Amino acid sequence: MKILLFLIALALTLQAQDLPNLDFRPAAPRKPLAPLESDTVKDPLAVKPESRLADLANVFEPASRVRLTKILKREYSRHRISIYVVTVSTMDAPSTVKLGEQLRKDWITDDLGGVLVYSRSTDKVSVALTDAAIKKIKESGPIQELANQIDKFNFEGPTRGLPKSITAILNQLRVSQDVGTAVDDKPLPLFLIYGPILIVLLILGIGMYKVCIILVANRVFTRTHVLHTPPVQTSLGSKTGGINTVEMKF
Amino acid sequence: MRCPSCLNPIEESVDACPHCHFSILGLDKRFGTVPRINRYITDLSSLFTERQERHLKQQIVRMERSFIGLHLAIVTMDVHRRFKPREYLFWLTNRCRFCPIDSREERSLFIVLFFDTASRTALLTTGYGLHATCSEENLQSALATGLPEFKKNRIYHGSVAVFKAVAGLLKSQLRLQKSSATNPQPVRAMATSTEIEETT
Repeated sequence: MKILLFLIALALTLQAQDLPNLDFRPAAPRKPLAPLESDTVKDPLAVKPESRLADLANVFEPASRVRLTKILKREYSRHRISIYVVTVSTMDAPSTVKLGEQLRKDWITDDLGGVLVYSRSTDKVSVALTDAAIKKIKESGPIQELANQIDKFNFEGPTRGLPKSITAILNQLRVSQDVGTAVDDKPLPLFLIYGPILIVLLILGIGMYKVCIILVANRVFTRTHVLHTPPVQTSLGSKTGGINTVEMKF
Repeated sequence: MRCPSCLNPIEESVDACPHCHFSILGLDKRFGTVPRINRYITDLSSLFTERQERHLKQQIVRMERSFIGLHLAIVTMDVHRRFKPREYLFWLTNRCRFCPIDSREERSLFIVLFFDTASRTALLTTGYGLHATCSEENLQSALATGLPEFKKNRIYHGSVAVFKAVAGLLKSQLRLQKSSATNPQPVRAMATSTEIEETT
């Protein structure tokens, strides 16, 4: 009997191994799959670079990159002119213009500024300026001149031409800024108004002091009394005096 | 004019006191070497601080500028108890120069304020050139202005007060002399003080 029961249990176990899983409990939530390699590579132009230079095409040497960054940051801190420079490896001309416009809209919140996009494949620079910057440049002179200048600098290569192009744009914007501030007719700084007055007063004071010293030395302010010496007399063998003496104990 | 030794009145131009036979020649033997005296302040008893000395000197120079020909000096010294301060000062004024070396005619135009710290006595003396301007009475009143300060051991303050009084005295006397020269008036005999000393 026992052997029979054992055989039945064995047969059932073997049969059960062949059956599909009949567990109807809800399955545990699956862990998300590891992202693909293609997904981990972020868009480098999604966030505006703090250095104001996104050198994706590795155009600049480290030293010139630092120099250019310095210029761009300085211009922003001093004149609030926000300029970004982007270099890309392969991109046709219309795409660089499109990218420049897109980045300008995304990155530049200030009034004055622009994005310069250099494509290594076309070896050309496209400039996307803000409306305010364009307006300012137009106020100070024709914008075509600036475009010609940038084209001219383009022939010198990116490492030399790009900084020159940036400088040309900055100069143009600064000139227009200066023109704008000159029209505002700001009051002069206080030291310019009172400085010369103070200097004149100081010189006058020194002069008066010297004159006073001379007058005092010449006894102009002192009322003098001239004592006359009487003829020499002698008493008790003395020749100068000392007889007329009073004394008090204290 | 009184004899510095016996304080009896003496006449001008006498070689020795008719009462006590006092003369300067006898003093040389008693006092010996002449001490080194500075032009303005000789503080041998160290009664003044450096600052006070400087201020006193400034005041003396100012006064000398106002009264051309006048020489002022302060001497503090510890005179030996055997000697009378008045005699010592008489000898000192005749044996030391309180005027600059180069002045020849103005040797008798001086006022010396002398402090003897041993006997705690303040003395004020003048040269012959000021006898007409500063009488004993006037000198006494000038010295009396500094006495309250001297009693408090504030010698500097007392000296300043005395010099101010002397300056006022000289000014008023010179003004009087000028006015009398322009409007001559009969000379009135001035009362002479009998006792000068004032003991505390």
